Amino acid sequence: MNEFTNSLVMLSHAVFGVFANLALVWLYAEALNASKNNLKRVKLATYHVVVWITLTFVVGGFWYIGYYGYDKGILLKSGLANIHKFFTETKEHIFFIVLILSYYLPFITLRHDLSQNEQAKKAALVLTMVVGLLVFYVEGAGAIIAQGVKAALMLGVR
Amino acid sequence: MKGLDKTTLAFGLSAAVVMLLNSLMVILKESYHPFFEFLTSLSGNHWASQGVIDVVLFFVLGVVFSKWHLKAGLGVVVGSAVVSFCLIIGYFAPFF
Repeated sequence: MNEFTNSLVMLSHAVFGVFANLALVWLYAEALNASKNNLKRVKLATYHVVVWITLTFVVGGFWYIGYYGYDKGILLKSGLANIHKFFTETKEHIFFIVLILSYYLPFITLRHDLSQNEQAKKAALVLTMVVGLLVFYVEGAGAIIAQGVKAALMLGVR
Repeated sequence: MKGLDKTTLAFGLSAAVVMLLNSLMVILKESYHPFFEFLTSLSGNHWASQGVIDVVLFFVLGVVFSKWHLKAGLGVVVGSAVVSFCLIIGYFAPFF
């Protein structure tokens, strides 16, 4: 894989993560205003969350397994090793909490009428918010890792 | 006010259990190298193995808990997510 493709794959997983968070915001808004008129949109937003999170898992995992080793080496050789030891380690494992909650979300939003079921509506709102906050952490940690690698390269670490 | 159906509650318990197991797996594989090697031997990469185990366990346990009529509400799911998050952050905090 050349440098362009490497960067494309790396950026794709971050962008898919952002799309997942946008879908979560969309789902939150639809759930908050649940009525008979928007139940289809609730389902559509749920599908978007699951698809984007799954794509993030697959593409991010592909890049992490195959290509993160180079960036990890740079971070460990620089004075920024803690970025790998804390942010990468927490990001890659907290992502699995996001993944499981995202796969649980459809059980609430697709199996219940949120306009008629207050408990399901509350569950959808709370879980959407929790997943959204976790995705923020994962995205933020990813940004810190990328900046760490950039800083290390600027310092001449190879 | 209607509640969540039995399947959803069973999968809620499954999600809660899997998130906690995920955090415990992280701590175990980072502190006990043979477990790390075991996970690596399953798929070639420890992280990929852990992800697949988490997803498969979530669906399998969900079906099992549905049949056994075991369930957990929103509080248990969110509580498990918070504890799991804190376990992972807490374990790696000394490296910060």
